[in-house]
Amino acid sequence: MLTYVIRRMGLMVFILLGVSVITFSMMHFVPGDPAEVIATERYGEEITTETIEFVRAELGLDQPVYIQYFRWLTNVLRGDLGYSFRTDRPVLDEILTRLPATVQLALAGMLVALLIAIPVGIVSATRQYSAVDNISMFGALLGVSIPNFWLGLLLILFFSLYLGWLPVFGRGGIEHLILPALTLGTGMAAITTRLIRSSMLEVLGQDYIRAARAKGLKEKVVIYKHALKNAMIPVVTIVGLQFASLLEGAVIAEVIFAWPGIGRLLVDSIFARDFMLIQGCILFIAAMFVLVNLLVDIFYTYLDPKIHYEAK
Amino acid sequence: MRMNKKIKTISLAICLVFLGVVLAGCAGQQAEEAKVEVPQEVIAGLGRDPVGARGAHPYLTRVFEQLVILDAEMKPRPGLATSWEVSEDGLTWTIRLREGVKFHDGTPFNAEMAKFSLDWGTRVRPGLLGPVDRIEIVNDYIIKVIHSEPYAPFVRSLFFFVMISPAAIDEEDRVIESIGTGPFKVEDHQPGDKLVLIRNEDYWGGIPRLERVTLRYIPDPTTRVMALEAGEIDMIIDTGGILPEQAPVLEANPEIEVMTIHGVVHHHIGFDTTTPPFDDVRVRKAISYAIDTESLVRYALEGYGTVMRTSVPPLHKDWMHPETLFEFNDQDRARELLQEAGWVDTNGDGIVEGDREEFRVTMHLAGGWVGRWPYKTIAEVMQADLREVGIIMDIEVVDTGLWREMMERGDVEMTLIPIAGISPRSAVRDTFHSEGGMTVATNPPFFSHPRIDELTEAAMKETDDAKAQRLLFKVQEIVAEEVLMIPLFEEVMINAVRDNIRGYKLHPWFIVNWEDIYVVAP
Amino acid sequence: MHDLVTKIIEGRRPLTEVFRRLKKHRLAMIGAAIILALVLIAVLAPFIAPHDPIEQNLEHRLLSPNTEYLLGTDNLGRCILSRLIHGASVSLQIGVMVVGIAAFVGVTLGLIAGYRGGLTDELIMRIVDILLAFPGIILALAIAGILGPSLYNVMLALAVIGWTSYARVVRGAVLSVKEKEFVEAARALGTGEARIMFRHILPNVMAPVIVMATLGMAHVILAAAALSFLGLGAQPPTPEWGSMLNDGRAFMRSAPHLTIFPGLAIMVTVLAFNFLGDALRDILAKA
Repeated sequence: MLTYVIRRMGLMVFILLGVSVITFSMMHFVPGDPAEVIATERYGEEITTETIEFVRAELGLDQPVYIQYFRWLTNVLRGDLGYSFRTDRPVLDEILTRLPATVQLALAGMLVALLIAIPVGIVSATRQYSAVDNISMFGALLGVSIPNFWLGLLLILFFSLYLGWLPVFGRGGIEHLILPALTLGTGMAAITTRLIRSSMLEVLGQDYIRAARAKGLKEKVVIYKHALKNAMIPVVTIVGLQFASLLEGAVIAEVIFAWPGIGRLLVDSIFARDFMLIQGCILFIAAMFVLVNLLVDIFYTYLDPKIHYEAK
Repeated sequence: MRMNKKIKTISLAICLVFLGVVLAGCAGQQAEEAKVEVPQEVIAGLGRDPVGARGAHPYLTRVFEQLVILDAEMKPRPGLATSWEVSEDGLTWTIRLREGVKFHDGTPFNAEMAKFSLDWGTRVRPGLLGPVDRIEIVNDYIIKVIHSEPYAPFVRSLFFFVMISPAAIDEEDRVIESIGTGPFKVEDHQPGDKLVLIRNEDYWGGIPRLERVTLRYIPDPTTRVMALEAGEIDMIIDTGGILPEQAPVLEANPEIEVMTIHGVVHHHIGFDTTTPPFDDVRVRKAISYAIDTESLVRYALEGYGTVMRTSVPPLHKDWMHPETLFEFNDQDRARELLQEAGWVDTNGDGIVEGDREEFRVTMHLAGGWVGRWPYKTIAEVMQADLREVGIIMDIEVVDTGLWREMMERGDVEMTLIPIAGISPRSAVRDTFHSEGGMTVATNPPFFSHPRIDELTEAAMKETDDAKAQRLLFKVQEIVAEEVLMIPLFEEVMINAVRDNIRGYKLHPWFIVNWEDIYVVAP
Repeated sequence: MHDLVTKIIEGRRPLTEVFRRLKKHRLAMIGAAIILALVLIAVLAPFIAPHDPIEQNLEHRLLSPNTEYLLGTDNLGRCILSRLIHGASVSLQIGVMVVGIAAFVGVTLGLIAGYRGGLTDELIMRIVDILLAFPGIILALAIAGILGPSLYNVMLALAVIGWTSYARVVRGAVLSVKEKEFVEAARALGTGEARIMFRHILPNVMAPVIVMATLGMAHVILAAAALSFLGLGAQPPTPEWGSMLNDGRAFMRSAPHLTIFPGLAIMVTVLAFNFLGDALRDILAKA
């Protein structure tokens, strides 16, 4: 187990290095003069040629690319992700101040997904091929097919403007969370519902369930006490891996609902070509993602002691 | 000094009497309003984070103030400076500072602070204040700025330099805290979300009526407008705050007041005049006749724009040529000119040909501006206009960085360019001088005109406005005669407030007069 | 996914059997019918569209659906129905191009990695690991955002992130069939490496690739629309659904049909591919 974790950690470091090289080279081999773009972004209204040269020197953009990369990398290893070109604040600060908002939104989205998926998935599985099952499977396909940016706009239009029940934008009380969480959670709810259904079906076909039924246990006990517990194991994995799609969805939801999270920070910095911030965000998101995957795998072993990892 | 005080006392007395009359006049109304204590707090939405690399945005937040402010007609007015004058040789500017002003941290504002702020400002924004040789302190409230050669737009340039407390800056010239002298000070800042301002009780211009202002950063324009409609925010401020397409819905809403003003930005078509087909002045003129700017403004901008008749916008009306130099919307004339230039439709497919090749050009648009202005729609309307006279125009949006590089390489045939400038002198120079400079756009190396270079250089040094204006009239005439660029429209800035917000006055450079705004019962 | 792949490969059945089951699958048939209709619409667009999709009629702008313009007009007075009809080919092209490139690159590299093993395998799979460490859309967003807004860049970005999952699945599948008798037999007969890979192994791992490609069409069309929505998509006056939706957003209050119809078009198309892909997966995976 320990060797497995160490091996995975090593792989993680390698992946993150790869990620940083890719983002860095992407940033630096694109057409256009970053100093000029940054100067315009920073000073907007009126800039001069001197300002551009000043920006270039200040940000070290006049150095060769590999020197820029190694300087950046050594700083990262010391925990310094550099300064945002646009706001002149430390990149790590920018990311960390927005982290809670994104985590909150992602958790809320996940909650919405599970609140829908668990009951619907169980009912669908226990009544396979019934009308309920067909409708919910159709709904699940609809859920993954609906463009979430479109859904978000329609939700605002309907619930905030026509009905006036929920706020249009921003982070605040629980009422601010509902629409973004719905926008974010729909796709995941659809995927999770299907997963719970198929996982339940598989478990319900197992010998020990048949044995439990044969023993005359109540159907409710069989389903909730025996089947559900075992059916949840693969679900936990997928829910963990869904974290990635939650982050993707968060970009859209954060843009539409003016939610001050990391997704929007990334979009803003991409449009402003705020290279340091783009690099920092991508590295941070990738690190988070890889780490979550690792935790999911470890948790999975813990849930299901039958699985053993061996270092090959 | 004593004289000054006397004048102040007298004007105060006059004001009080006037106020008394006004109060008596609307006593009934006043009594009614007084019944309900309305909290003096507003929430304003805008499309960018009001705190940037140099601290709180001076015009949007008014945390910082400048020596000179610009009024609604973009004329310089005293800010933290009370007066200024230039020496005979045009090199030395003597600036007298306002007394009794304090920074939010209690530090008194004086000549030392002004020099500190200007030194810092010229370090982080070199070149913008002209060729500054040195800044001298004369006494507590007078400083001198000495240039190495005359720089006429100096006073207007001061508008870009905020007065900042030394405690606000670290040793690397970064702004670590926004400490200025303005009517509001920063209470809380959540990056990417909101900035909370509270009023400065010690403001030199009197205590503001609003107690608290919250600025919410809402990047999506549709969400922003819906938030205003739902009453979650009270105002939308800033340039581009409301898109023209969205204004009609708000206009129809009785609870919302839509406000407009000439913006500082105007927009042009630029051509590469050095290569065919646009090296022929007749072709360039034909383009201007082919385009219907009136319907462009009506349909692409929903009427929120002003058609231009010369290359200087109405905002700088003293600097704008008195005559109509550009004419549009005459398709017969456009076809005639194309024919003269050798572009005729020989095979009857509706497209003109010259030397057996179709007239096909590409308009390159800079991606960053497509998001800020309806450039795509404008280009699409133009595309249809040009097709009418037999020209095929393709549209290509490229990233702003790539666009600049293509411009420099001469790979752009035709484009749309936004131009802004506080100073008409520098705006015209930056746009038309062959070496260019910068406004919002890089000056494209689309043409090089020695006479224009001469005239604009002279205007930059000419401190007498009337003389400089005549120089720039001449530039405008040349631009129009040779159709070096086609001015399209001057933009209109659209803001809106809910009907219980009073006292907001729009400013072309989106300065918000927070100290005058107040809230009444809905 | 790996479980599924094994299941699909183990449960390999003749094509006729697959078709027979597909025909009985109601949702699959609905999906296939919609896709067929879309292809027809895309091909016949110039003949069936009631108006020119890029012709402006500024006097008739922002009209609600009426008898002349069945789905109304946009802010430049263009017929929305005609634009949607022409947009079908744009969306299908994006889907086919991206899925085609991603599948081709992914299958080839997956085959090589799985068959060759060793250093080649290690190299390819580590690149896959790195690319999979980015949440997909975020990498696409970065690529398209940095290269500039255009349909071409969007397709490039989606293909760059898309091939990895094919490579992974094919590699896994190759590992499971590589030691099978028929491969051993071919090798014993002295058949060339490339021939073994493409003639003997490839047909045996195609089933999961087909499922992935069908579902991939849905995913790619949706992702391209999302990128267009963020302003990184098609150039005017191309009638691309995602950018139509994005352009119409400013009019959402005054003319909601500008937003609603393109959204519906995207949804129906994506749904059709999901119906079909989902059914294929069920049928091919069921032993």
